[in-house]
Amino acid sequence: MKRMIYRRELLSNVKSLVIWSAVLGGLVLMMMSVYPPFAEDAQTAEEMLNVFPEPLAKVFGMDTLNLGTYTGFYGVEVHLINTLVGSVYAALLAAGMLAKEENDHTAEFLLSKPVTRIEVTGQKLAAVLTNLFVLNAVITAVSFACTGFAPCEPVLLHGRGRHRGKRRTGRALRGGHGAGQSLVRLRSHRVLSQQRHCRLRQPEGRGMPKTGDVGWI
Amino acid sequence: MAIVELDRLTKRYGKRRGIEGLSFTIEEGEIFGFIGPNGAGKSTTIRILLNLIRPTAGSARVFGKDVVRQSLDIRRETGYLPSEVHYYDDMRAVDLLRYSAGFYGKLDENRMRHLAERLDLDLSRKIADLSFGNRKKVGIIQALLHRPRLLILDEPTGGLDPLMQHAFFELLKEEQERGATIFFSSHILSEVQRMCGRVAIIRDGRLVRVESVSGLIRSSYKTVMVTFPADVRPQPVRETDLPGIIRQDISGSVLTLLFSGNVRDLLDYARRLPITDIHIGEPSLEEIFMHEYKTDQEGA
Repeated sequence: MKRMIYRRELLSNVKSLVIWSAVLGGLVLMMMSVYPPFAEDAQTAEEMLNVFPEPLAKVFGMDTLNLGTYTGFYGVEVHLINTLVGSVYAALLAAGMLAKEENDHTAEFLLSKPVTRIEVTGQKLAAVLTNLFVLNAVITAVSFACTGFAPCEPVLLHGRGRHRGKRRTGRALRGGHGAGQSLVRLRSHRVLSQQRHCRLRQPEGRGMPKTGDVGWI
Repeated sequence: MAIVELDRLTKRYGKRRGIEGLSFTIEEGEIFGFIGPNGAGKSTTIRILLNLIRPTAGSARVFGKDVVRQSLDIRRETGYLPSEVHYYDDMRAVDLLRYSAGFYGKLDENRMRHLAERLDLDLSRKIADLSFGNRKKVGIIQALLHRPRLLILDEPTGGLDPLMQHAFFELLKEEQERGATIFFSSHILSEVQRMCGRVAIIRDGRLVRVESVSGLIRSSYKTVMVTFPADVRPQPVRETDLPGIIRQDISGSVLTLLFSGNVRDLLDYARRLPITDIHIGEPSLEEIFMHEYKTDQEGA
């Protein structure tokens, strides 16, 4: 009796969740993979900003975020995609889940069972929230993986690399799991020293980040 | 104990009529028929009992509980078969039944297999691939599976072939023996006649009458079939010659009467006619029903 509807909705929406997660995750990956070439040419960022009319730039948050920095780029591009596509998914999922019972005339079956309408809606809402949580988790995971595209990456990993050797750098750069991990670890204990590293060992030829931009960690 | 009690139950859809002031009771262990033409308000009544829709006025009680306020308790012990069965197309029959059973507690796997076998239903088929009749079978099993105290069946035999109808009625009889009460709506009189102890006749949202099936049939009505020689064209019987004729019908050389007068008068009258055969019998519910409806309409 417990959570029948919740379980059913989770199971029957697995396929669409996988597809949406893959598409959104892929989009994030794609957007962020554009960052390194984009950042190499600071001029491009500047030009891009000028192309946008001011109100539009404001909508995208470009007045407060700097497209030229990694976080700024992430904030503008990925946040935009996530919000747009994510809301479409959330709306479609939730509306469909409720409306299909009525449209397919299965409501008569469901409501003749010993469940209240509130319980039906509540369990379906829980299923929607679970799906959205998973989608967000996937996006977050991909985003962490994408830190491989961040400019400081080789330096950041240097903290670990001291013991593990340089191979990890390459893997992290490809956006593998290690990048996210190193980032987390970095946050917890080594921020200050890493920042110094970052500034010191900034690879030549890359414009980013500017001094003081370490906030992307 | 009354399992279902309707008290001046009324449902209006805006200005459209649903049902108007319906009152009757169904006793425990009964098979109660609910008959009326399409759109008379049978499904409306049933949906109110399950709290799928709210009554406009009046009240209804099932197991002595109010259908609006204590609906959850009622539905826990009720099995419902809608007139049109719509299920989740992505499920297999067995998935749907497991899902359905999950709402009532533990699934009785043996009972499910047994019922499917009785109705000759392949449980591994997808619902989307099932024919209308097979979907109906899924609906029947779904309604019976948790051994409900009250079975509400809305035109249950539609789509079932005669063999399956027979199996289905057998199942219902067993349910009744188990102690279940069955509320059974239909517009097919022969099946009501075959199954039900009492019937409520409903027309245009109003109750025409509630009576036992045997009472309805035994009520002084007779059908009389008089056969004349092939070369004689039967003439309609005049009221002055033979009082008590409700309906008469001539086809070929056969005169059929629905008769509620004195049988002695009938025989006296028949003796004066050049008849070759006469058959006096009990009318089918169908014939009475037609008559009930007609007089009701004329009265209205």
